[in-house]
Amino acid sequence: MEADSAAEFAVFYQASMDRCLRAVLASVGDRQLAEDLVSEGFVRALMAWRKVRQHPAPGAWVVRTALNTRISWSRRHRREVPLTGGDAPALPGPEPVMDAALLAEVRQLPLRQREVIALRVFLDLDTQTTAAVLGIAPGTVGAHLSRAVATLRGHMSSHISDNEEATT
Amino acid sequence: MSGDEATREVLGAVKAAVPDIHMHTPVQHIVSAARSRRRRRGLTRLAVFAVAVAAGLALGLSAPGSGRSIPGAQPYGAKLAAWTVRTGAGGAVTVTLRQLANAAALQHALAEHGVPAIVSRITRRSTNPCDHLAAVVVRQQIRDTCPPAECDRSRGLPIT
Repeated sequence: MEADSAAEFAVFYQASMDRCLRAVLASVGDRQLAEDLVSEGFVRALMAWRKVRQHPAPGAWVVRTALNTRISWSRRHRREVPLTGGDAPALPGPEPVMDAALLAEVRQLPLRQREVIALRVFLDLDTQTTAAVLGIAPGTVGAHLSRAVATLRGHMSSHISDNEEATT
Repeated sequence: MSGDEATREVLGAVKAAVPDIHMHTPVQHIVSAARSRRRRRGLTRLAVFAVAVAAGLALGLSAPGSGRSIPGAQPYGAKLAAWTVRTGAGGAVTVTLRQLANAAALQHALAEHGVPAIVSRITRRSTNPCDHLAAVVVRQQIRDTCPPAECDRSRGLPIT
């Protein structure tokens, strides 16, 4: 029974880990932090696997847990001062460059809007499932999404006009 | 451009902005982390349970009104109680009050020691408003089988 659960979890992990990582990365911006948060989300998912396996979207459960963990970690480490010139953790392979400006704008969004973006964009959840995962009404999901899109669209428009001015 | 198209465009841009990255953490790390955390949690729960049991025992010994003495029992437990009822070697019943609590249990304990009594708690306000005086009055019920002349004075008068 436990072996079955472990095998089931392993399949789930392999299938959803990268999508979850991208969803969290879009929200936090730091590659290593995103991986730590997603790992933490998966550890908690495994600990509560009996419940999580029945969830309508287990990947969304992991992403939400990771984003909530980030809040509690940042509260816990609020007073810590990072060492300058310390050893940075080495990650294998070259890291692709993100569209920093747009993702910075995503990170400025309120948490709920970021959650909606992460679930809709990276986990391909529909409005109903997103609403069920977040425990809000489908209409509220639509409202959060349209607000987020309006903010990001404003940013994209100004970015395009800046580039046009720069080229002329 | 319609609203749906705008939404699709923005969401597509966000999706494209995040690079095609992969998790480097193997599933074995996740499984072992969950296992060790579950083990730690089990130990913590066990420790909490042990502390709760110990606290429960301690409270049980010191709970108000639980100090009814049993012949032959060690006295240290009764010292923590709100009150104690003891029957001495000569048959004299000694009531020791430390705290005014659980009058019904005291009445029951007195009855078990052969002292039918009504125990009630009266709170009186003294002239000093901060000084609340609480008193326990133990009244022995007048028993038909016990004529007043034969009654032990210590058992027949109210104790305040």
